[in-house]
Amino acid sequence: MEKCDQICRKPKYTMSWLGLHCLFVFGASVVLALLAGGVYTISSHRMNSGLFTESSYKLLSDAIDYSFAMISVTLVSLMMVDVIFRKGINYIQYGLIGCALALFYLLLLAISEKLPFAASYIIVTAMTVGLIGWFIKGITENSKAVKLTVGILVVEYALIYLLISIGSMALLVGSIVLFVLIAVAMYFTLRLRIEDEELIIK
Amino acid sequence: MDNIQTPVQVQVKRPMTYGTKALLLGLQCCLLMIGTLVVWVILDSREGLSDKVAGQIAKEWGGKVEIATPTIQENPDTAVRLYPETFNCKATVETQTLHRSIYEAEVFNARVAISGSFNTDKVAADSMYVRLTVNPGQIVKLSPLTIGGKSINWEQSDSYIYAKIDATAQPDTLEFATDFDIHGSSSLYIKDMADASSISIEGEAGHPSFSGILPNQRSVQGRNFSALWEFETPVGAKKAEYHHYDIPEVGAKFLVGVDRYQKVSRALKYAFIIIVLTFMSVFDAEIMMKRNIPLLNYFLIGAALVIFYTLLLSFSEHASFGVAYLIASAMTVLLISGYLWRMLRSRNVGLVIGSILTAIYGCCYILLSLESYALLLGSLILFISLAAMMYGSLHIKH
Repeated sequence: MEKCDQICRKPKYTMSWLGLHCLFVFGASVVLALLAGGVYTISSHRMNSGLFTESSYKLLSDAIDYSFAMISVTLVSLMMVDVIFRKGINYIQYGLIGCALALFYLLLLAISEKLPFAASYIIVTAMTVGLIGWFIKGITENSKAVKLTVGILVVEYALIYLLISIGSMALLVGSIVLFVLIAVAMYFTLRLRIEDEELIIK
Repeated sequence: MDNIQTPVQVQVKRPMTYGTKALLLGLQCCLLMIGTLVVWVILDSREGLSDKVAGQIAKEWGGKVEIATPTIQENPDTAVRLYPETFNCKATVETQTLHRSIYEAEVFNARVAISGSFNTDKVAADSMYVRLTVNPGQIVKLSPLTIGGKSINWEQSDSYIYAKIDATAQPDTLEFATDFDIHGSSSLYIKDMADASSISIEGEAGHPSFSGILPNQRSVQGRNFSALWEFETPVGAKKAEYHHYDIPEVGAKFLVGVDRYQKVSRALKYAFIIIVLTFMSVFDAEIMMKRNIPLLNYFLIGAALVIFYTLLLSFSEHASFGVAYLIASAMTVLLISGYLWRMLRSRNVGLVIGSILTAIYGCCYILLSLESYALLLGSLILFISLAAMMYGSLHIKH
């Protein structure tokens, strides 16, 4: 009887679920990247009134350039966590996590006015990653899922810090990272199976 | 337990019809073009930055070079001047490339030899000055002025060099000659104000162009160029024709930056056709193998094709365009063909798609290196690929 319950329920993770979520993630990333762009405007005002140093301003505006990629990659990897661990993360929760990622830039601006940029970057990253990790723990109650999400976030933030600090080499490193990202995405689609219309990552 | 599972497995969802899928793939091609637009924006900003840095490097070396005909005057600053009767100027340009991190600028060192003669009839005062208008900051090696058989050292001012001569004891025709080495970039101009003059500029540079009045003789062969101007208009007639400061300068212009970005932007123009041809071949493979490839996988393949351009752009900043193209296309072709091999579990499909992609990228490179035959060859390639598509579609059976 228990087996029947598992098989007879309507499949949740179908191909159309994936398509809808991809569209949602794309739209949410555009909106949130625009919000992060708003932080850029605030930072230029703050710099003109002398509260914010020019070197931090340059680093912050470079970091904001990567906000779209950052948010969309994080939300797509959350979708992957959702499929692997079968814990329903709903649209509102995706949106809240996206908001935390966009708020990162405002916090970074606020803290780097008082502290050196590298120190404030570390503090803000720890705050954002901690918040999202705690939230994922609340949703999934699975420590593996939390570890995976936190790992992905830390790698992403470290990469962005690397990209904004190497100057003219950023394009080379960035395009190789993009290539690797596509290769990883291809690897996951190869492991994605459709069994009884249900997506399974093996 | 087994008999519960069987009915579920038998139930197969009807796949998308080929027509719907082709339509969606077409839409996806347009979506991926947004990606190439982003690459184009990055390219544009890199080009702007590169030009700016090249301009800075060139400015530190020495900017435009402007040389005016030497004159004799009572005081170096007066506007009353005696212009030479004859004037010969020979400039030999040697270019060199300066690097700063990944940016490059082409600058030059010109060896300029000037000679000619003055008619000293009109000279009244005892001591006169010979003035040569050229930026002294750019001169690296300056020989003394030889005038009427005597050698006199030049003295420097902010914007010209001058030498004091004793004019009364001179014969009526006063011969002069001097030469100097000068650092500069982007252009070399000579302002001619003599009754009869002959100006020649030669040397080696990338993409030289001649401006002002076009030269009487010119030749450009690869990086070597030479140009010769000859004028026989008296100074009085020139002054009547032009206002004093509007006398046309003759000379050559050179490109300061490097043109690697132009090649990438030309390659970017083939992005749409590359994406369409790749999608068509994968779609053909899907039909022949009777397998369903989801749209998501197509999107990833298309994204890899777009990322080819960012790879090409970033590699071409560190290596020559040919090497960058080879590495970027090899990475992309290997990734996509390997992906299809694993996805369709058929090595043959992987090899076929790999060779099709290699052919597409090879053709694209040939089109980029050809200039006048690109349109002819491009349309022939399109015709052949259309024929191949038609042949492929013969296999579709309903």
